[in-house]
Amino acid sequence: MVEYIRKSTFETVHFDGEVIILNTDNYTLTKLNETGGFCWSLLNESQSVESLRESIFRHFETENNNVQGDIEVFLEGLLECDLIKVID
Amino acid sequence: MKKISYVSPKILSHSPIRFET
Repeated sequence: MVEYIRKSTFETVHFDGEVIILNTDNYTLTKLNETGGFCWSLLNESQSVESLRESIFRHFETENNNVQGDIEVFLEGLLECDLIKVID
Repeated sequence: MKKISYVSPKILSHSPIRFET
């Protein structure tokens, strides 16, 4: 099972329901929505798509059947932003 | 306790920080 974790200890600011991540390694600002911020808060420890999905089901009220797909797309985006890495 | 309604996790923006001398 593939797992993901934050690439470094980034400064994170919570503002108006959103989360802003300051990456001082490559000088970028990344803004996440509330659910994205929730996932980001969990990624200070290694997480799989499945573990994130379970946490979302516990924390949010959802009838969305594509939560797993949403998480996969979100993690792909965080990888492209160079904020997380894959743990083999 | 009432749960928060789910919305897809999203990256709203990603941009380089602009430095000025």
